[in-house]
Amino acid sequence: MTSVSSLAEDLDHRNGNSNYSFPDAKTATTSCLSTNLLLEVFSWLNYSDLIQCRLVSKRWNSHICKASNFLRHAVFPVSLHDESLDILSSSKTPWTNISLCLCQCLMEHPEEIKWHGIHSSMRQAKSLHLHSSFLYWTVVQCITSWTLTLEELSIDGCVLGPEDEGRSIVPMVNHLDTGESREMIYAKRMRTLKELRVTDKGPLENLNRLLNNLIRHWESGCLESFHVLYDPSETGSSTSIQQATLFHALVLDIFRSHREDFQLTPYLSEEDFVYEIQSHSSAPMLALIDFFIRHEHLKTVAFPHFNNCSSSDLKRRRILRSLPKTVETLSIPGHSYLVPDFLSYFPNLKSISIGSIAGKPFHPNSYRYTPSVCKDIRELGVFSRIHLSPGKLGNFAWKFPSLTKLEFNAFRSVVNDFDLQNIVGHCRLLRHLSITGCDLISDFGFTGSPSDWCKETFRLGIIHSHPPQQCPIKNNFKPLAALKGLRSLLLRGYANKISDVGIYYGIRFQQLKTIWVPYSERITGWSLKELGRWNPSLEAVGMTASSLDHCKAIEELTAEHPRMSSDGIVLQSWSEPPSPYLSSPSMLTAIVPGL
Amino acid sequence: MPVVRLQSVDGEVFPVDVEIARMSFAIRNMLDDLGVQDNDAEEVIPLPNVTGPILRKVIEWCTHHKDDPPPPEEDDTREKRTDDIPAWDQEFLRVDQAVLFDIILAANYLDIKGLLDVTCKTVANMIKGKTPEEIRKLFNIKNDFTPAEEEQIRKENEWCEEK
Repeated sequence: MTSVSSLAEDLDHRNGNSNYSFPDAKTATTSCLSTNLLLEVFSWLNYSDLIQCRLVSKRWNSHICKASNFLRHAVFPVSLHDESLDILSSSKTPWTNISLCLCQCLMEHPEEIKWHGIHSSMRQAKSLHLHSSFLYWTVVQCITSWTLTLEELSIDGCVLGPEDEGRSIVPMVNHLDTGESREMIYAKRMRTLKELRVTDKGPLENLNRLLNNLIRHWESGCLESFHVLYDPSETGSSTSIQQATLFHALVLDIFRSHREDFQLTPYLSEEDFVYEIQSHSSAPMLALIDFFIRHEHLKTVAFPHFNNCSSSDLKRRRILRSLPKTVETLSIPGHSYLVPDFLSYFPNLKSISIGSIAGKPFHPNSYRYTPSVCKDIRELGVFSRIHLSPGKLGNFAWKFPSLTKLEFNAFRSVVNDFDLQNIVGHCRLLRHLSITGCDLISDFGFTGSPSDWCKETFRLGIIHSHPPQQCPIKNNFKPLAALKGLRSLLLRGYANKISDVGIYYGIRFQQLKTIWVPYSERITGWSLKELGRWNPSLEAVGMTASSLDHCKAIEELTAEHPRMSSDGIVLQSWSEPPSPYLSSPSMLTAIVPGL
Repeated sequence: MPVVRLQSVDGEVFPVDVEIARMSFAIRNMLDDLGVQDNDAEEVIPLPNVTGPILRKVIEWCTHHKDDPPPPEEDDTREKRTDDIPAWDQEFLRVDQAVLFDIILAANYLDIKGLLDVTCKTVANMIKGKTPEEIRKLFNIKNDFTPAEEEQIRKENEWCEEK
């Protein structure tokens, strides 16, 4: 065992003995692995493992910062008024994704903010997310000047007042000290920009002002996509026709230069009254149809609900028909926009999300499923009221064998064991599974083992004595754990037939980070604690209507599990009905930090 | 079946089927460069970076995997999985850490992608789910952070989020 280490690059041995050899196995360390090989090992780890590995040693930390699967997937959220500003300022990590919250103190006590250090920490930023309700155009310009090669800029919040008011609040930084004006530096930053995303829910005038500024300062450079997400639901007043018309004119103006993505609305709608365009004329809808017809290369499309007396379902379906065949990601406000053979319109479809705006319940069986399109669809989300009898949902899901994400927001109890088993058997690639209304599921659905055996095992309390491989399996059924790539599993409801047996044998995933367990009296604290042992990546646990025993068990699980903190627990009490707002992982994020 | 002779750094010579030796891209290139003919049975290829016991392991692995389909193309967007190591490989890699690392070094030097992947996955699995202290203990790594540096990273970890 002499010259193995000569393989290692000199980088790693500059400080050590270049003729390193192992006297015995005990002293073997990863230091014999070169940078490239260590990076090769790190490339097989996920984010939550990588952040633990950063703490191992200086060498590991510096290499993880070079690993392509770390900084690209990490976001550093900074707020001007708390500890995070100090942490970022003294950080040696070249963060590439930064999310900056500009709080009220920016306006009230700008002199108290410790700007120093944050500029240099943001030099490397590739992606910058600004959110605030105190965002002036000049503030946006100044903050972008702190970066050197910005690729993604996301502005979340309304732009206030006359633009000069923000002028002296935020320091301008010119890293290269070229003596250029603010406008010139800003224009340079915009030239490297690939993606720009604007989200607003304030009065439309503010958004129009921002769009106007963007157009005025437009240096399109290498911009690849531009998203406008507008949610008028919180303004309290309906949008005036003039502003709506101006908005459409501005958006269309920006899109003149032939972009591939078009978004005008939040991704999905939870409630009927949210995210509508209220108007007495059908002009906005016609403008949208006109836009779609003239843009033949759109790939991402999401549009708002049009709610006025002249917009019949017939007209709504015209929007869908006006879309080009290139669409890959489609998010529509409700199924009233669908036509029975819509799938054959979009041969390239990869992701579809159907919002909840709907009068009548959604009948999945009234659509035609083109197999060549279905086999390529990766993401499917149905938030409309679903009308199906138990056991039919699985038949619907198996039409989509390549799904990585499946969300069903069934408000009634329509999901049973066979639905779950059909999903396990046919949607092998699933990463995210979220189903509400799981009231009819039992241990069989979780484990694939015969119900009698599950019941008997639970009754005798001999769960521990069977190794999982020796559980009897009914026909070709499988335990949920067969979905090996699963990252989040959210099953909501009151499934009183599920016991410890289902949890112990069904929920075993190497990568699972988030789980929501349906309520059952037959799930005891014992199996909840076992969850931690068999799911090493777990970060958040939620449960519908927990009992005291459940709460205690989850607290203990959190204390013992290396990955979990008390932020990761969500428990709903009996009195609360299961909230429809918790139906998708994205909504859960708002409640469970660190997802 | 034509045979090539591989010589380890400590002088041990292993006769190996050409098809198996060619699973190593480094050897494949050497054979191609040298223009070695099938009947040059006397040709000995020296491998100055691999010891006899490790070379024996590598050949054993290649022999078992000689009929594997070529590994799929690198794809950044596809999630890498570590829970799919075949049972034979798991048993094969149940060795001392020092030997495991030597196999990684040899797989890298000989450019055998399948073996490199499965050994790196094995190390990744040893790391998964462990605390930093457990990882240090496992690999006998010294914690060289100052308390302040460690605290800084701990805080960064608390604040940063997965995209």
